[in-house]
Amino acid sequence: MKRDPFDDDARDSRRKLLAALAASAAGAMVGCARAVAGPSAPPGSAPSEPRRKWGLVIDLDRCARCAGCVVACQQENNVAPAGAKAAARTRPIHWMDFLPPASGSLAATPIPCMHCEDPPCVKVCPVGATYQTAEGITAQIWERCIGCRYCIVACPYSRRYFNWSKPVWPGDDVSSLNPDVAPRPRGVVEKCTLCHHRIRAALERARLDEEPLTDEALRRLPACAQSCPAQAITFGDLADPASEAARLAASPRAMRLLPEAGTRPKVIYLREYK
Amino acid sequence: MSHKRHVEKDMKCRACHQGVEGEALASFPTLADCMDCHKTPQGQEPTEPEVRAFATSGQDLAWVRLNRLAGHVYFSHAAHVTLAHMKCEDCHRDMRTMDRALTEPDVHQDMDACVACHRAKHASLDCLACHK
Amino acid sequence: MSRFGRRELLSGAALAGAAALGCRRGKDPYRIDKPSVPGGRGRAGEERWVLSTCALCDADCGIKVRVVEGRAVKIEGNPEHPVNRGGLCSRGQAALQALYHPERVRSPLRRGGERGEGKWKPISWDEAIGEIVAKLGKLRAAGHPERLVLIDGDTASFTYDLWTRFLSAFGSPNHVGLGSARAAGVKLATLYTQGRYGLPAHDWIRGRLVLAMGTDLLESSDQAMQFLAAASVDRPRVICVSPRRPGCRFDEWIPIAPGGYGALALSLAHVLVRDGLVDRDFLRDSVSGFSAWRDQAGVEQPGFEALIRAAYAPEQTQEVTGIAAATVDRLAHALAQQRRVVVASDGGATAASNGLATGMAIAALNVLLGNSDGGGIAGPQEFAVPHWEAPAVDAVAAAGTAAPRIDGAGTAACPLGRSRVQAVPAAITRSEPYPVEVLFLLGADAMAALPGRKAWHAALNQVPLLVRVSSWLDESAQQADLVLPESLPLETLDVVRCAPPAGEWVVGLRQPVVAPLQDTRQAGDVIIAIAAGLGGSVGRSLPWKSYSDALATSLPAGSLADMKEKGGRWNEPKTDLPARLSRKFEICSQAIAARMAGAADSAKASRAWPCKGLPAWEPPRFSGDPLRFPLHLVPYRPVQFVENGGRFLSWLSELPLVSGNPWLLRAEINPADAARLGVAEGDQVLVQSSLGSCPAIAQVSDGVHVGALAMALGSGGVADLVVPDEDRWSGVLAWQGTRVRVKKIS
Repeated sequence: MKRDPFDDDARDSRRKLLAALAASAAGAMVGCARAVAGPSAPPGSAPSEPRRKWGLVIDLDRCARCAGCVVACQQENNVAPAGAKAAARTRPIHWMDFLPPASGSLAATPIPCMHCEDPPCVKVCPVGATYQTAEGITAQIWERCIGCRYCIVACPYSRRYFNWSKPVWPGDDVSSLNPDVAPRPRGVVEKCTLCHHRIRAALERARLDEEPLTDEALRRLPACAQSCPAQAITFGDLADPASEAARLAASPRAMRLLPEAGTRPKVIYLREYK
Repeated sequence: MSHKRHVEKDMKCRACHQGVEGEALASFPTLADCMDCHKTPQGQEPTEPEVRAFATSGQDLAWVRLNRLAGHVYFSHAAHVTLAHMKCEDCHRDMRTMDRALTEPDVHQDMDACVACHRAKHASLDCLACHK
Repeated sequence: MSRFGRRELLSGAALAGAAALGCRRGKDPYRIDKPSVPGGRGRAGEERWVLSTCALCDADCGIKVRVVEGRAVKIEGNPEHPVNRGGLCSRGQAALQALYHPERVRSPLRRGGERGEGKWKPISWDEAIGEIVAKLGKLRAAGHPERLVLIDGDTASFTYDLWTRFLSAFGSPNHVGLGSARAAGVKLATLYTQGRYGLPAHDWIRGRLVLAMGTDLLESSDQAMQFLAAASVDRPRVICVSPRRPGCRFDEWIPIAPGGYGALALSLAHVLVRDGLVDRDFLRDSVSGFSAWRDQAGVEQPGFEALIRAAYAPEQTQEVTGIAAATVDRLAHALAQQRRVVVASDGGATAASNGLATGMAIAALNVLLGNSDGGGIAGPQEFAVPHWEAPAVDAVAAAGTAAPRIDGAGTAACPLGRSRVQAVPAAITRSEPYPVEVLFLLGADAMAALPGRKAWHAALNQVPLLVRVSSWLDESAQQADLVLPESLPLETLDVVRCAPPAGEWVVGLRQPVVAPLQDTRQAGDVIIAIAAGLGGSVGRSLPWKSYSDALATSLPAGSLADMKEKGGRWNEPKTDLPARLSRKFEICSQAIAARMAGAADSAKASRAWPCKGLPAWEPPRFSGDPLRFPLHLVPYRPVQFVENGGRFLSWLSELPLVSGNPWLLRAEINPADAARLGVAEGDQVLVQSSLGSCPAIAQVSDGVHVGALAMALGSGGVADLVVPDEDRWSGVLAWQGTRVRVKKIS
């Protein structure tokens, strides 16, 4: 059974399987097996425009390891703090995380989802909750996820997180949640989305204003890039050679993590100057 | 509040629901918006003076939102009205028949309906176009 | 296509089962239901951005806050602000967690039962202020206004100026800052060499090499953001000198023994002078006291040059610094070769018994290298001050302010200090020089954040009226009679003096992002209400109806309205010209010389500070028997350190900058020490000093100097370990002056 969410045949057979499962469970499985069929033009672009390839460049020479990006991401995306007890079981969720300093190396490494060109997580998802958009975002549809966690095992970068318990917003903290991002319930895997809600809003705004979306507007678009005091994170269209991100990705300092895994990550690091 | 009365006067939906062209949420009028016209008596309805009476209370109108999206859905009026040139009555009921305030949601689209229309109009079928 | 689906999925109240989890009924798990907003949430979907100023450290970065339907949902950096240029650190962003936090104090509280019992009665502001006014009125009537003590954390905002004004009209000299526990060593060095108390105005923008002294400078100090914003344009080379390898990005780390910074600075100066690498032109034009000179009495004084040549060769200081002479030579030559160097230190580098001399020695390095092309020190920068007329001071107030300060700052006990908060507990307990009747405690939680918890506990309990001004029921608040919840910075209107990257002035505006969510008030309004209650000359000195009225008159007409547009007002730093010194840098401080000459025991004083204002250095003192306590404690402020209320910001406690559980406190030691002491990574240990103990998890790291034990301040009881020794000239608290031992407990 192919697991391509855009494949009509697979969708039908999967739907039959899941319907059989649902028949014995209470409640309606409304819409969950309704796959969307076929990638048509990505949102916001005319059919004739070249396909974008969103990517991120992180300059490790500039990065001060201040972890401002971590908090920016958590605030923007409604990621609840886990608390001391859950933290003891390695359950805090950090879409933008930090790899601890490796021995011999001097400083920690910030690490979001790699948004691989060949993502292993997409291949193992049994329900099509995770897929790759036409513009290169490895997307996660929260409400499709059944919590099997195969994708967590498949990801060689460990960039996916499971909600082991219901996220808790103490007191009135729920007041400060970002209305643009759905909070995830217990039992759902979540991860960095490259702030696609901001990308979507920017593309829509560009079309409404009838102005082209410039690279300048994109460079600091995700919350992590925007907050970085050292301007170490650059977002952009790697398929556009004029973009800052593409230019930096071509630097002799550029490198990717785990190139031998064959995932072709689209988060590119620039090594520290020595 | 009778939509029928207002539509009969050839008012456009966007006169009160001002966000519909440029924003995701269509928005509701504030008391100030209503008072733009109703500061002087409008029409023959016996309840019409209540608007001016309410204006002296210092509060704003407490609209009750009936059409609620699911928490994981992003729907942009601007994208559908301005970019896709849809009409209000494509999704909302015909307000010429409503002579009292709405008490129930009037939009009953499910995801099937949205997807079918997107497919027919060659709009995006990417999950991320509509999911938060 | 039918407009109406087979199932009505979008129903009014609840959404059933569209989630792929299938069996979900009832509430939509993805929906966010927010509690109502006091005062109404505004138009549905309404969104606005409010410019304001962060309050979590003294960098005072510009922020913009997104408010949707009356609720603050995101804090971001203001791209136009010259301090941070759109970036914002983890702390400034996490500040949002404080706003809706369930543990905020919701109204003024009066203690019921005994102190520390935790019984509180909510009261009205009128009652609280009435009680304070009654007590303060009695003090003035009895002719003892000096028995009011105010311990204050904030010096950057105009609220600080209002407190100062109130205290001079009331008649108390006791405006005690927390500077001695923070960066006073650096700020006093600026005062005595440049004439203005404050952080030096380094030329971060044009500096091409940064020599960062201290564990915290580029991570959590008040200067970190200025460095980062400048570095975001063109990153300079960074050399860090500290006993603990910093977590920030650097090019070279030179481990130094605790307390050795001053000796290193003077040795670097020695090499620069010895090898002819100083900028003689700059020294001649912009520095006084470098060469020998004649004082007013006609007596020849040795200059800095003579002092340095005679001593402080790297070979002589390597035992104190733990740095090989060859490394010092190499470093000095690297500084001289680059020339456009910023030599900066955080408070920690000067937090030793030789703190002031250390601060002056480090500052001096900047001028030895000159700043003709950039780097070095600029200024001193101008600071905005409120344009209020002088307060009315009656006879009672005049007598009161003439009384000696409770903390002994400026007296023979501390001739060169301005504030000495660590002396307050003993002064209160002994009622010397007079008993304290009313204590207002603002800013940091003294019992938890300052050394000497037992002494603070005893002292706080002895004060007849203890008022804690804080949004949190922290340890000091638990001992209070009255807790006055201050509105949070996000709910406050104020004017703030920011610290910008190249010495130009920056004034920030703090404005309310949301209306106060609880029954809280701004400190400024409380001060005005107290003054109004007291009446007389005190009331006349604060004649405004509210603090916002006071602010309106504090700056030229129309300024506040202007500032609301931009979030503040500033002079853009010029990037093409080197920053200038506006007066001569006194490498031999005339101010120190004058003060020491006037000090009560001047003969004894001059013996200990022999060079009349030169940064004469003496070895640092460490408390605790070296045999029983073989390691030196190095307390540091990690990147998420917040002076007050930080532990309520759980995102900060969870920052993934360490391996393992980020909530746990670690005791970091060198592998050689670990092996010797039989301690392994992950062991539960007890760290003990002669004053207290603190449990932690052992972390074995080659990033810690041999003989040192590093622990993060801000959570847990690290402050309990520190013996409150100080620099006896300036009162700088010796955070780096405690010996400890470590014992495995499991």
